[in-house]
Amino acid sequence: MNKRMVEKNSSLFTNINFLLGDSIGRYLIYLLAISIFILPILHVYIAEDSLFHVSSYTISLLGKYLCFALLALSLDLVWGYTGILSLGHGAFFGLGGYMMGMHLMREIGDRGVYGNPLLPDFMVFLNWEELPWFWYGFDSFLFSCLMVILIPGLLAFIFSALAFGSRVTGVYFSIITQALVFTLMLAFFQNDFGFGGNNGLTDFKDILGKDISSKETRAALYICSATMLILSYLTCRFIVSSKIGNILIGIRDRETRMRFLGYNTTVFKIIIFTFSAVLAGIAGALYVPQVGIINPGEFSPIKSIEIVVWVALGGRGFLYGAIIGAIVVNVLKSYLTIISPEIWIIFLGLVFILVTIYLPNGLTDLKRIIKKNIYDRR
Amino acid sequence: MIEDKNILEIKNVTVSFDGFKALNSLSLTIKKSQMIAIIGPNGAGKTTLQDVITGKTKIDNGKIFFKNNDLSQFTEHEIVNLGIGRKFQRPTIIENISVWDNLCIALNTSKKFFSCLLYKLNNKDFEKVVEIISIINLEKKKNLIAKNLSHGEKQWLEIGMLLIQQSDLLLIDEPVAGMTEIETKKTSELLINISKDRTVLVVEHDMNFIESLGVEVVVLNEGSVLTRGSMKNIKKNKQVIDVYLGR
Repeated sequence: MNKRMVEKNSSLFTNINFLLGDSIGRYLIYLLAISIFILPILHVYIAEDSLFHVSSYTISLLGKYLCFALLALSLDLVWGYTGILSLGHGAFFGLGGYMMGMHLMREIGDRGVYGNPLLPDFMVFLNWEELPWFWYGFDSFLFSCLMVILIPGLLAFIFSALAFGSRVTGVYFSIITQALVFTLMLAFFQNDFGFGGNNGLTDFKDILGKDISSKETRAALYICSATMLILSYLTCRFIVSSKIGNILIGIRDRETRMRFLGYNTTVFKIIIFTFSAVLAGIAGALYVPQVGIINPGEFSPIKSIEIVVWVALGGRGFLYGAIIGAIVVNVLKSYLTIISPEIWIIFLGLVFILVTIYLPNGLTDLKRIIKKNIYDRR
Repeated sequence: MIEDKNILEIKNVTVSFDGFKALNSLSLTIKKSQMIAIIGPNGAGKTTLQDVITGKTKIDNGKIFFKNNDLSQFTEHEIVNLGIGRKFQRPTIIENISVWDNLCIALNTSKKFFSCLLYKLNNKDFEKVVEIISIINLEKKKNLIAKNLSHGEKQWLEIGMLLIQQSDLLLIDEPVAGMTEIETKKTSELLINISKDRTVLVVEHDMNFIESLGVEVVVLNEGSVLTRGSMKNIKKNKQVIDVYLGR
């Protein structure tokens, strides 16, 4: 880890303001906060032919990036700090997304193609007579939000308690996270599983009674995403700059030492993993209304690996690195897949290799290199 | 069940790995505030003995009592919190945080998640860290990231972490392996100094080092105690010469 970073961290025990010494993170927060005020106004109140108008496509796209950033942030907490490489964080993102998707399906009501007031279209299509029990309650927004937190959190808790409790670590843990996300993908692809199978959940109409594609809703969703990202960043920063931060680094570097210092490292890992999964679930829940669909593709193992690439590119173990990485990679992805979808995956692989070789701390290394060059010239 | 003057009683402990008896009904009693050196040939059970005391390896037979606690009832981190600290053979510190932070996470404050989250370094703890840093001679390097320390300094830092954790019994595995002569001498002084108010159990191959400590020696062979006594007597013991010291 970056030396300077750690030295600053050491003074944080006595520091009330835990954001001191995190200048990049602070600028990132300012930028997000400013965007909360400016972008929605430019989107809603500026005429569409004006140069300053932000289109609904753009604002949803930006909102989507922020959801990915939140997802990357959650992974950095477990991977960058605690050294637990999860190759299945898409599982929690997807589950959070499905929980929100279920609510949006219920809000369609009788406006579906088949006009059934109780059953979503895909259930009518499958000739189901009644709503499965696990769809109960999702007509309530609050209940759905609770499930967004509870379901990914519960799965992560049980999964990590089993894995860490039996001392599964390192690459073995990574492999079973892949198995977890793959299992979910197979299950959600089944029509009988009750979540729309292959097609997933889509054709949403309203959220909280407001048209989901209206300007105001889009703006509100962007505000929610940015606010959630800011709050999550501050929470994560607070955690890693408390004594916990050093304990997590200790677990990452020398777990036996931590155990022989009297820490129950299993409990620490379970708590951090579960917390991270909850953040990932929230990211998924914010993502779904902005893209208008959730399907089992979100559980594909490759998507979970992509999250790891975002964090690696941004630089792991810095928190802001994950956010920058997620945004940079996805902006590139948006443009490159328009030019040529085929080269995107090759490009991503190439960038990943180059970064691993030349920038072991990801884009955060650029800061160091630029600084060094400036000093050298003097 | 354990005599007052004793801190550790090991009674007929047997551990076998695939039929091989790493410890063979070993019994050993250690008094409070005593330093003991353990020697023995490779495979005598020195490391396994430390593993069973710290709960890393489960025992097949026998009992270990530490301050009236039957250690088989506790997990590794609970045993630590009962007051047993362990120093590994290779320096085992947290390389990526500073010397100061290494000592802070070793402080014997609550090791629970949420109390660590809200922990603030108070004056008492601050002074303790300062005190230990001076004992292990790393005052000038307190803000250094631990990976930049020399081998000897890392060993001292790890000993410091055990001290600050306020263990009553320290298990120290080959502290001077790979150290320079000056570092070895400093380490011997450090161990003598810290054994004044706690029990120290040192495993070491370096005979000169053990002699410089001037403590009672326990000789292990094939998983049990061969003999114990002062270095002077051990050196004359025929059995010890045969199995370990060589003629």
